Amino acid sequence: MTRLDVALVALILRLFPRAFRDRFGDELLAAYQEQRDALATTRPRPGRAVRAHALRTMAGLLRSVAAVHAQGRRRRSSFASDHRPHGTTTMQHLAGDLRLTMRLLRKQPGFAAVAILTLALGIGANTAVFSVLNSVILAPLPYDEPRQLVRLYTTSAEHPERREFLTGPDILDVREQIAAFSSIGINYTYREQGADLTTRDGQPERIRVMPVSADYFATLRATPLIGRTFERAEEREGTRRVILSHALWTAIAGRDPGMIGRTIELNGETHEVIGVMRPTFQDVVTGDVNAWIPANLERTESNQRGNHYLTAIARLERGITLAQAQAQVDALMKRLAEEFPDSNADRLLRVVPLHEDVVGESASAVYVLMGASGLVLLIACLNVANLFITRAIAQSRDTAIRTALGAGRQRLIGQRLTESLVVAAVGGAVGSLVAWWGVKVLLAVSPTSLPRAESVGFDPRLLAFAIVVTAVTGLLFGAWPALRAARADPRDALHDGSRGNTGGRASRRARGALVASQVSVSLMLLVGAGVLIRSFIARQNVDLGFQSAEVATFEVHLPQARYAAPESRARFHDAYMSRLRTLPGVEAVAVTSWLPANGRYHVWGYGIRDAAGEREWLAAQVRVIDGDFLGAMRVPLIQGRSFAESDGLDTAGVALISHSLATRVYGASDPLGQRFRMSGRDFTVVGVTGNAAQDASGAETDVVYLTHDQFAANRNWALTYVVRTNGHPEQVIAPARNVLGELDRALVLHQPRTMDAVLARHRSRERFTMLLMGTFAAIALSLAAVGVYGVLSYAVTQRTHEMGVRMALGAHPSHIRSIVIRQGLVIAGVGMAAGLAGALALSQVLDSLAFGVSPRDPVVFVTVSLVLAAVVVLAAYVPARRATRVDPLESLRAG
Amino acid sequence: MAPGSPDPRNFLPLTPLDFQVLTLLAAREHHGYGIVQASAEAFPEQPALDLGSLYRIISRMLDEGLIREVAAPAESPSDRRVRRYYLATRLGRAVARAEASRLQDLLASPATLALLEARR
Repeated sequence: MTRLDVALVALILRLFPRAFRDRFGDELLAAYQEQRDALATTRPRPGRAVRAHALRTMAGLLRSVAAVHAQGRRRRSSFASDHRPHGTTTMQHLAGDLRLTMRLLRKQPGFAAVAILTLALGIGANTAVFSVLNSVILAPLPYDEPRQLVRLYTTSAEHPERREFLTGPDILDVREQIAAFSSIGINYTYREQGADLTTRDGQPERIRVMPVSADYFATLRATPLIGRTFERAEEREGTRRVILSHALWTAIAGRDPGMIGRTIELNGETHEVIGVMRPTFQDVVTGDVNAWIPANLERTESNQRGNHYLTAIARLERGITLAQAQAQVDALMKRLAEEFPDSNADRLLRVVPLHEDVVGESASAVYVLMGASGLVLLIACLNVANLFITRAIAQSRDTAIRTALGAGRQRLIGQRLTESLVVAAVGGAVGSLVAWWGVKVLLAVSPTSLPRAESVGFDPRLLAFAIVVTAVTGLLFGAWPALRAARADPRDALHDGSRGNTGGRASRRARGALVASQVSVSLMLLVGAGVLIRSFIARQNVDLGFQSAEVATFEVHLPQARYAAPESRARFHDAYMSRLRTLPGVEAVAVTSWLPANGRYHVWGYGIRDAAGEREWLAAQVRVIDGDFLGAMRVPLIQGRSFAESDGLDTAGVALISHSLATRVYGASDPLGQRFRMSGRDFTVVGVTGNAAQDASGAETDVVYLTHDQFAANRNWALTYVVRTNGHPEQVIAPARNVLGELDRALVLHQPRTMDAVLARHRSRERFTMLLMGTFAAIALSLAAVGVYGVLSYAVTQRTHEMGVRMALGAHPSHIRSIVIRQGLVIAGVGMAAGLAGALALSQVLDSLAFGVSPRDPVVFVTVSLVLAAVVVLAAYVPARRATRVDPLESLRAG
Repeated sequence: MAPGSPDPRNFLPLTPLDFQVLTLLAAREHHGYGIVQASAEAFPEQPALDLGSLYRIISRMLDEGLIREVAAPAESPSDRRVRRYYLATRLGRAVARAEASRLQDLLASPATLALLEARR
């Protein structure tokens, strides 16, 4: 309701004479909004008052249109009345044209309906997709001066494409030494940063808590609604202060401003509430956060140069460019590399515009979809143009008669243009409904696949844009037949008409060309859809190195306050796993610090001695597991043994490594028994596992598995349970929750999902793109079929006489059918040849979206061509059959 | 009335909305939304004035010389909104007065009084 009404009022204003609009347009809109804002505070029912106001204003405007036009005319006519000898005015002409149009369209409801629906589909699809594009990609970030915001990543000269988290010392050096940034917000986005909030009824609730630096809010130019934000002095361990999100404040305190200064329990520890953020504040990088606590940024042992865990968003100093900032950062990193060669050699920091960082990955998909919806609109316009040409030909006698009776060319052209514009306008109106609904569907289909999806809204400006496009197209294609008809010599048309044969070769060819273009554009869209569908199937079938089916997952977090001792955490998980194992339907139970195929996480140094005995550090991702992880995930054990009960806190460190890591580090030699160093401890390789993929597209990675029994002391690991069942993973959640409650009433079973759902989430963007592309292709295909059908049935009608003669001379019906179908195939063939060439030329735009299949995949090209040919034959068959039903006698007599 | 000016009676009768607008602008200057507000206040029982009709009326009355645009009063808030102020011209005030006295005559006629009497 917010902006649509203003756009509609503005749209209605377009109906007024230019002079009126220039004089009063802005003023009227401003007054309109002022009145609306005032009404929005009326009680009760402000919505109703605002709507009534909108309707009243629009009705008033519509009532005024004619009067204002007439007034303008009176004013002009007082100066120049002699210019209109017949006393008829443009407005009267227009009114007459409109009446005639309405009459013609009413007489041909089928024509009007097809044209309007076609345009509505095209306009609707475009507006919906463009709304998404507009809010997700084109709209600025929801912060003040968003172009100044950048994100910092760790990367290396060796792998410049990698974007890793930052270390504490590095980013603190940046904060202290780089003048290019006016401020830097540092936050700790790692997912352990959930916390159990104990509510008043004593029930714990899992919320998302993000540790942030003091300048985090200031960098984003966000101020608290009440209270204050953090100070630098609070960036240390043990600051028990918290800032609440507006949502959490509402939920736990009912928006009580007295909440400031009171305390809440997080993970069993008392925190003082010092501020509440505004409801509009959102973090575009991490999404929903319920509360913020100060990040510990002390330069202590745990905050080493090797520990990558921080995210930083910086604001560029005014007048400083990205390149200047990058140069300053590069210089700093060079100094650090010299000062700390052990950790910082080869390490770089990369400065990326925040907007690019947030939308980067999905941009290509949205642009491809925008292009596709543009093609759908093009097909729709071609279709409507075709309808208009066909009709103009059918009406050429009528036109000729009107010309012969002295109707001016201008009037005839005006009449045709009015028709196209009326159809375009109604199409736009219906299209706006389609778009409104389409945006809803898009959001329903893609809740997780697009960044900033929550900000997508129906944008009336885009609707206006689509209407303008349609109007221009309508004019363009309305003008051509109009000009032709007006130029024609009325005598020819009348003679021509008497033979019952209208159109002529030129317009037949033109219509054929239009349909061929439709076929070619449809083919391009079909190829795109085909490539995306095959990519999606390839993704589904990719071997991830484990089996996701029938596995349930959920997280359990142990509050530090009550589970301070590592042994107590290990004991709890062991106890809970053994209880889970006894549940019916459970086959294997395990925990892991990070699920496979869930992205990069915990990349740690894997220290080995090279041939010369020098320490060498390689990167490997660490997973802390316990229980029967290999059995639960069905990751094969290739060599050696898995963890055993005997691998405890007091025995020597043991590890499993993935096959890829074993090959990379040890090559042909036996990995079993090899020793390596990690996180300050020594480990011995006791087993080699299969490769479990790092992401849903099957990318391989090097993994080290450590057992939680031995590694619980490293930190309070947030563990994800994986439970393999014999059929119904979702049914194990409720009993698992009950058992958890029996062990510790205050614990939460967090994020219960099936492993398949975890994977589907990662594939949702591909699924979304594929579905949308498929829909566009289907629309295009049906429009093309309608086009072929239309042209051929018209041709059959035109050639009734000829068909009759052929039948009378003994032609077999199948022969007649083949004549018509052949005509369709010729048109389609030309279109398909052009379409194939176009699809090949455009194939590189799909490069970034194709997976496991080439954008020039021959299977797709052939399949799509066959489908299209089949549809064309089908569309041609109906008129072909009608041609064989021609009664020879009747058609000859009629001729 | 200055010689050569149009006769106010030529503009009569006014439509109810025209009359409301002109009466308000005869008293003091208003901007567009101000007219709507003042109208709702001064003539609560009369047909409501909407912005769509208002600007048609303003446009016509400007053409006819019944009202003119004036500078914003000193105490008006200066924000970014487009605000233009209008005031009835001398002719406009005369037309409003003429319409008012026409209505007064109408209401004072015995036929009208009898009608109102009959309702009681």
